[in-house]
Amino acid sequence: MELRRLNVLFALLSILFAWHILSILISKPILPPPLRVLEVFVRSFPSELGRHAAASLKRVALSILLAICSAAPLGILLGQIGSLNRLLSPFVYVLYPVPKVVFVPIVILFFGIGDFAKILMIFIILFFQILVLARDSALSLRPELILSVKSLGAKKRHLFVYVFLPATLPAIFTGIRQSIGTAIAVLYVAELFATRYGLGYFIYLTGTTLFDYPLMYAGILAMGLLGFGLYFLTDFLEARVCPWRFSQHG
Amino acid sequence: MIEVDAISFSYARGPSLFEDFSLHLERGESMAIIGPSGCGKTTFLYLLAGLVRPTRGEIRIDGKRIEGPRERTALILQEFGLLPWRTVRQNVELGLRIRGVRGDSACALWLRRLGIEEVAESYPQQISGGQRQRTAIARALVLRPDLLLMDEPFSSLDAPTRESLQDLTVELQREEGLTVILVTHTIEEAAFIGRRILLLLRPPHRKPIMIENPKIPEGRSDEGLLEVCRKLRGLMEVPWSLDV
Repeated sequence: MELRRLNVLFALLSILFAWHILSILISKPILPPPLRVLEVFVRSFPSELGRHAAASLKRVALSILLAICSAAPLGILLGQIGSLNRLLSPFVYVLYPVPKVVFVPIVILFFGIGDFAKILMIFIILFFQILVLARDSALSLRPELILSVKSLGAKKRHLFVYVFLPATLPAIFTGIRQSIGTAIAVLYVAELFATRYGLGYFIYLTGTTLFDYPLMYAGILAMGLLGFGLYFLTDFLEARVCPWRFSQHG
Repeated sequence: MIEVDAISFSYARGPSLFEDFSLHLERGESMAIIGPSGCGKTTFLYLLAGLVRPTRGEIRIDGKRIEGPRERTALILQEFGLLPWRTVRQNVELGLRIRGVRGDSACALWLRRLGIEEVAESYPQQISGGQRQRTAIARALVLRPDLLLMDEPFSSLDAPTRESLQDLTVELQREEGLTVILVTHTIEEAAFIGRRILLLLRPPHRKPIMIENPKIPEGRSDEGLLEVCRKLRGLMEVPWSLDV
């Protein structure tokens, strides 16, 4: 784990170094050096930038939470109850491959341009990702594992709690991890529409209207940190919730 | 104790495994089931465990018809059936939790009795095959069963571990007065553990071929044990076309 942290730190420093060299080579206002961006970031975060970041964090966090609470149990139930899976899987099969970003205009038409529409959009993307991974993980459980617990007298609810839920937790975390990038990309797109707060709006405003490039990069940095933070939080929670995944083999 | 009364069974779209098959077993007996792969040994165990139901006929234990898993029947499967996300201790107490019983002392007792106390906080993937099997046995015995069903429980273990667990099974069966039914591929194991040995050859099975083996062997070179092994080997070499 220590080595992994060092590797991450090394990668981060390498990216910052490459950025710095590139900014010297290009030497134009559209690519300020990282230290200048960092300085603007630190200065503007407690006031303006922080407010935008908080709005974005609220939207993406709520979407993730809603998606986990709805898609994970439904995915497990689909994996556990064959008849339910046979009934709903064709719908999942049809809807899963459709790129959900195309629904942005539809969601806006139906639900307006407020927070709800933005949260709903990200939710839709995460929902299918988590649903499919949780269902497939529940379906791939070895039958003898289920039989052995059944033989202890387990009813359906026991199987859900003691077998299906813990067995699918790693897949749920994988689903979240895989969706964070897409979720933030959609957040950016969603925040371009008639809003006053949000990193998407902030980046667009500072870059194309105010032409304040260091501030725009500070916004991009905040969005990157948002993604990285969520990714890191997912790893952290997985290590706490699924300790057996990180236990050393005998 | 166990009455298998004229049962028939086949899986959906599968061949018939049992047809009008009957068997009787007394309390405290140990029976080994041996036969080639696909002959229906494990299915017979699942029928006794109430995990699958006969298409015709019925199985009664202590006079009660089996219609689902029974509280005092414990099942140990080939790959031990331990949950990888639960520690050894949590696996052992799983059955108690499911039944809503607090059994810390019973759990501690069996962890100690089976010599797995030291690995109680480890996950199954962190311990040896022998320790995993001991965990599966502890998980079964903590529920105070009167019938223990074992499906090739020692097949993936090395020879010394296998022998020590076979000894433990015989010892526990005698101490606890358990009725033990063990499915195995190994002739020596069947002769060592089973005081009765059910031979399943080519399905569908109609009449049981039962070899009586009443004498408890004194060791693995016991002449009586070797004689039963020879007899079993001879019977298993009979061509599959044998109509029984």
